[in-house]
Amino acid sequence: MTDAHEPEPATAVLDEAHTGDIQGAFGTIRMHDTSSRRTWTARLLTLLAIMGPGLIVMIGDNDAGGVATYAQAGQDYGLTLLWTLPLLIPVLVVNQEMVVRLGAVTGVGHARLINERFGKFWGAFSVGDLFLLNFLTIATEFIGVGLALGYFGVSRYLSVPIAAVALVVMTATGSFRRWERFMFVFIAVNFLVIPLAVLSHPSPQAFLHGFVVPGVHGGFDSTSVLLIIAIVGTTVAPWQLFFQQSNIVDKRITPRWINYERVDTVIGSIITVFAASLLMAVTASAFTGTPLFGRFTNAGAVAQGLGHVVGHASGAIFAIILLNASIIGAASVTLATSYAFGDAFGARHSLHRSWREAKFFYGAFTAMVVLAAGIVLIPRAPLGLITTGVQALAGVLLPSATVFLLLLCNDRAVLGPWVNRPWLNAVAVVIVSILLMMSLVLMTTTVFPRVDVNTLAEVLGIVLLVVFAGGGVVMVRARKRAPATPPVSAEVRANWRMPPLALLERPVWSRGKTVAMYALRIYLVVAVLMLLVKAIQLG
Amino acid sequence: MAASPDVEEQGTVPVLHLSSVIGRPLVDPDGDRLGRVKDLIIRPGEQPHPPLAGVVATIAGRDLFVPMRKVATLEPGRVGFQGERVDLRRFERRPGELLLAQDLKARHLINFVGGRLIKANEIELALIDGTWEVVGVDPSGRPLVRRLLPGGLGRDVRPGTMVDWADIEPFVAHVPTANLRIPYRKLARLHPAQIADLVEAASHEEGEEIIEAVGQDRELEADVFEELDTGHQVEFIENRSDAEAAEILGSMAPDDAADLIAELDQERRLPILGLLPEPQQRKVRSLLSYNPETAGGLMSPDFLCLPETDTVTQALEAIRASQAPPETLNVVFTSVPDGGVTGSISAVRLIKADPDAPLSVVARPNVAHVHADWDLGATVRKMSDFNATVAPVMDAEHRTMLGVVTVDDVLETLLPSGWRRDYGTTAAEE
Repeated sequence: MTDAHEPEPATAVLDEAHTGDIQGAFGTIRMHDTSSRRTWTARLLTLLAIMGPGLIVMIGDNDAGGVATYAQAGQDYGLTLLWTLPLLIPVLVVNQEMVVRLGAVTGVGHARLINERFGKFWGAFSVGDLFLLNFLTIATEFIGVGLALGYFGVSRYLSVPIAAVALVVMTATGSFRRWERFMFVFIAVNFLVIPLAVLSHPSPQAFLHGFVVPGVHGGFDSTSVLLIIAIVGTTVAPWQLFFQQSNIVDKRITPRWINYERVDTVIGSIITVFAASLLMAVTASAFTGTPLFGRFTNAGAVAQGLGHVVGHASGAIFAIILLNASIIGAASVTLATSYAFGDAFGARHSLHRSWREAKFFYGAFTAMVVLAAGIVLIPRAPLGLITTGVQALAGVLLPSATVFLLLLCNDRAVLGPWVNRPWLNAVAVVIVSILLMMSLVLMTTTVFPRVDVNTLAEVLGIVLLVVFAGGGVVMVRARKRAPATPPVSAEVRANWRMPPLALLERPVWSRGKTVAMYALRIYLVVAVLMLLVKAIQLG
Repeated sequence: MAASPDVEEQGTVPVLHLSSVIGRPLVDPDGDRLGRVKDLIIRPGEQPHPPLAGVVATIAGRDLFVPMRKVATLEPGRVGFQGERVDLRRFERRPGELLLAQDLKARHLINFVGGRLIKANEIELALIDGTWEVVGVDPSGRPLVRRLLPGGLGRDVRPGTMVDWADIEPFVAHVPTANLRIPYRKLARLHPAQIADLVEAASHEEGEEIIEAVGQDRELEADVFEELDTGHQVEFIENRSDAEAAEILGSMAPDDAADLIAELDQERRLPILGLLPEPQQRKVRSLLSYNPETAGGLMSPDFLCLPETDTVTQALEAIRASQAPPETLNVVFTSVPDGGVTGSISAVRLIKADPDAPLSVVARPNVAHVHADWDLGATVRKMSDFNATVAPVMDAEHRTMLGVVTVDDVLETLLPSGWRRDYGTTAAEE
């Protein structure tokens, strides 16, 4: 037995011990490891062991839809849309950090929390959104596989069914630890984007200019707004909320390790945005000045284009990146769906169970995969448009997922002393409002094509600023009047976990809150319909 | 009877496979075909090997009952009819009857030797003292191989291990004439954990049947429930009324009851909690205020803490009289009037100690304790460092004891969760 007073160093050996250790791909934290980390080496090793949920979630962003969207942004608008990407880092970090806190403090999955704090109706709506999106996302992953292997001459009708079968088999027989380690291999392959960028010779000045100066080549119109929403939707996808929370619960990351998990999340966001910007730069610099500029059709055509313009190696690397992205995306989204299913319907229906025990889940999952593959195989399907449409859909549904997240993170019964600080609430509200504003712009310009997007955006922007200013004043006044909550000691905070009592019964909403939620939902349903209309118009 | 390979020698009695008779011709004494054998009937009762009651035969398109006195021979490949008349009334099941092929073949049976589920791939009959009886069941894969191979080859496949019928019990809930039940006393011979394993390995209907069979003994039912994994617990409580669920939860240990309530449907949690008997309700509510991944969430609120001036005899008496679960009574704690816990002593050492000695002398001082908000890791480490199978949970001032964490609860939490439980097959699966 170890001496109780000796700090135990975290081991970096991949150990097969099957206790409740936190098993990361790069290391293991023993379950009984409670000592504080004194040295930077110890801290770094701990970080390596904890690293996983944040990184995987972020890299899962660069799935087939992501690669296609970033490539489209570069091919159609050059480097002028680069500024959207660094703006997404705070959005990503804010969202995922809230999810990290929820997962670590409650020990319960996202879908279950929504179900139990907001009731079955809203739970079903949220999970329903997620399933729809995940189903379509898996379709885009299959599109990616088909296009990527198509570059090497493999027919779509061969690669997609094989990929579908492989996906079903992999999830039915997989083990979590093995899967997580595989993911890190795929993440490493992602870094092929660097040699790809080098091959395309982007100009550094133009790169920086695009990063810093907001604007759009050809001006803002509804198509470019659609693409911006798609970029947001592909980077900050709703499935990440469900996935990271359940992943954290599965890995038994407790509040003790929250700061490491936050670092993991931040690192993941930065890497994701970095890879995305490189992709955008590649297509921008390759196609600017060529007849292919502004004529994005689908990712396969991008690979071909790169092959012609830059060189065969370039096209091949892009195809490999696309294939890799599709695999990562398919695996992450699949697992996220499983987690959400298990949360929403009880743990009997998830990847925790074998085929025999969870027949309904595996049946539904297989049906989903087969249907998604079927959509992709329809002859003359507009694959690029489907991809953009799905990402935009994600962007439109994102505000609702974020609203639930915000409400949960302000719920004192659920998070106790870990609830959002006021400044974080303010930032999150700003983010959600901007997203809502963008979808409102898209909606309006779809219905009334003659409305000028720029003036509309300006008007809405002013409205938004007024609302913010008013809201800010109200909030400051409310805080002055409210009784000061007693400060909570760090010790208590570190040990606070959500008790099951919090979930015993559903809290009752005020009438105002109920009305606001319904209004938001109705708005979103209308926005999705408008999006469909727009997509059909473009197609 | 000619010794053909389908009638294998098992000891000294030839055994007949059911599949060599089902679907074969029913012949009259002259060898002419009358019809086809559809099924065999038994009336299970107290005997270890139930005798055949008759044959269901399809004659001229009807299913008819042929009693055993009109069956001359049972041979592989044909069944001989004797007598002059055939009862033309269509076959109807009578209460207490089982059809071998329809009700039993290829279904699960409980093997009481070892508490396992087996599949009746083949049913073995034997002629004992002039009566055909069902003597056993072959759960191995050989009967399937035998059937798949063409005639000549099939007969050469050796029989597998036969399980004696006296050691097994079939599931009968799917039988329309529902007078049959799994006899409770046979199940009661198994350990509750084994029964729970059977329930987990069985399908939902079969599990329901087992739970209903143990339902005669509320204590045993509660024990089996406690041993089930959470998913199955929820599955079986879902279909019960609030009052019934409260009754089961009332007889479970409070920490198990608290865990189970948290897993139920949200709408049912408060009603069922409200129906629990008062002391149990109080304990469960207090346990629900701790996160399940902390020591507070693991602990049991029942324990024995006696003044250190008590004698060993008084302590043993207190153990005998206590209603707390046995695993929490493995260690007795001693305290002083102002509340602090001063020592601990195991039940074994109490039995071995001098009966008149005060606890302050025999108890071990410096009790390793945990706090309610410690997470799993810290709790497990403390208990393993100090070899404590029962660890007291103290409040922040180290004054009041809130409960105890027992090693059996901790064991369960050490199993890895995650995508697939790597050691997941239960003991009851072959």
